Amino acid sequence: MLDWPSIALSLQLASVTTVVLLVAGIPLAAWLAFTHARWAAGVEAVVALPLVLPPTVLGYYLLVALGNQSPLGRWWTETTGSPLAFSFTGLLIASILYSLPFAVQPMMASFATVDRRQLEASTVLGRRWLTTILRIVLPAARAGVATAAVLTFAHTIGEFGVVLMVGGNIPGVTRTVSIDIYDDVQAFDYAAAGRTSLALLAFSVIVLVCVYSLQRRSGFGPGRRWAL
Amino acid sequence: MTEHLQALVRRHMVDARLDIPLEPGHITVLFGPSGSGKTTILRCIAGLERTEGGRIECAGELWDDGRRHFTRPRERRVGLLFQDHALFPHMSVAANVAYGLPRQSRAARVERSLHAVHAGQLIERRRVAELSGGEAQRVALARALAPRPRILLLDEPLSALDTPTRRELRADLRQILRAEGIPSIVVTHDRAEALALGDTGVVLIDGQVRQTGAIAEVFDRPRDADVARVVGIETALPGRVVSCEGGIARVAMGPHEITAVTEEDLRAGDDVYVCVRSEDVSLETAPSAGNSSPRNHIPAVVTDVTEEGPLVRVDLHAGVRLTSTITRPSAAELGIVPGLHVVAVVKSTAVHLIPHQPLDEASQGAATPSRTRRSASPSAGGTA
Repeated sequence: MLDWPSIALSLQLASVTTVVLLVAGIPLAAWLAFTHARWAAGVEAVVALPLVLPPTVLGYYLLVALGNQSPLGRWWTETTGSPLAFSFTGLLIASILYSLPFAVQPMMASFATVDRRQLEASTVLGRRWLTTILRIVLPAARAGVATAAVLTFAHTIGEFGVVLMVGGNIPGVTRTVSIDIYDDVQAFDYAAAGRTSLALLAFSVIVLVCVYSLQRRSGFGPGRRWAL
Repeated sequence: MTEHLQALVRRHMVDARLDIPLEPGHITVLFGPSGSGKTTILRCIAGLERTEGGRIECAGELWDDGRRHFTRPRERRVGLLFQDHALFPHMSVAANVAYGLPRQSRAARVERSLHAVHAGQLIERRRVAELSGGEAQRVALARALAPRPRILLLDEPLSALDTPTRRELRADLRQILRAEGIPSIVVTHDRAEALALGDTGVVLIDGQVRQTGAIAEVFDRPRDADVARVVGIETALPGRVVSCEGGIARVAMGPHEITAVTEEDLRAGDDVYVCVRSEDVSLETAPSAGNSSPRNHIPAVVTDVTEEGPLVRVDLHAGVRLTSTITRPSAAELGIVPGLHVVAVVKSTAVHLIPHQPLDEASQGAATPSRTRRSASPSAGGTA
């Protein structure tokens, strides 16, 4: 049988991570795409860090930062009564940081293709930056936002190293599907590992096919000119 | 007292000082070749770029001091019309026009703006992508005018259009801007556009203001050789159409009446600029015997003779100011000296007419019958 609690946990983690990253990632991506600030390159590098760092390195720093030795961890424990490390919230924070480039980079790339004069027209017409992003940039960059959401979701479902470092392996709390598979393999239960892997594979393929066909139909994918 | 927009724009190679009167409906043309800094100036006034050590003040309100102080574009209340409209492609025509408006009374103001640009019939259109070039530019103009900006900036507003559409919108644009009563700055490198639209002309060369004055004066009397090279070598004499039929117009110009071939949609009574290249004005000392094909024979007196290499520039007075360029041997043969009576001969095909509604007539309500005829044309955007 499939380990449904792990699957549910993974889906929950991926959904919340995606929502948080879209809300926080849109202004960040917009700022990176349109700013002339010199230090933007530094911010961009930090955002991209999870792409090149081994998950264990990120996981280690997060564990230190979230653990009870750190001010943040201590404050969290004092405020909520439970530690941040090896909890769902801790796992969520780790996922958000780890998936940051997968949300920000596609949005940044698609924001950068939006006709600048439309942004200028919007500001000259008296609209604030945030209004311009919401009403002009996002509609023009729907494809990039959709791609960011899919990549973030899929990447969170598939993450392993950071989850193991920060969350450990507590069933129903931090035990995600990928850890479940790892567990099964460690226990030589190849049949269970195979079932879960197959389910995960099928799920990923279905999600990706759905999204890409949706993009094609809305005229944003390849094979169709931008329906503007 | 008229308020002014005073700008000292310094950015990259641009170093230009402008003083633009904020009179209702007054149109200032920034004219110059590409790369002369016209667009940079417009963008600095709009607040899309900062000056580098310059200063921009609008009606006494500081917008940009070139250092710390910078009023954001959305607080300047300027209107901006881009070369290729920059409409929001995912919004309907009405939503585009409504974009800069506050929530209350939006619908009425959208309708009013579209009517003002003679595009009222486009209000139902859902998709901006289906508009023709001329229609899109009219909608963009309505969008810029709708919030009643303090000043309207137009960046090469007609250059992305095909010729018939450009001619049609050019004829309309001046009347629209006057009727709306918003002071405007038009950037263009097109001579006909500058003459047709402008009240004041500002000539920019290499980022510097080289001449400022009434539009016809700037084009007719360039201050130096550089300006002359940029504004072209045609005259720009005010005239009034006497009749226009089958593409042949008779135009009263000073004490004379001349014939011109034109593609413009002209009516008797329309004001035009009469443009003739000095090379196309030939001279005769006595009226030619018998018939000759050039339609225009204008008696004139030579006022000045300037030698320019193999050519001689002859300034003439014929009730209006004319210039003729002829070769040195011809000048010698005819014995051209100041005070000589001559006949200036110009072929009708060499006379180029540019419609231009004068200031006073337009400000008195703009809707003379001959104008409404043109504006009511249903195909507001011309060819799709």
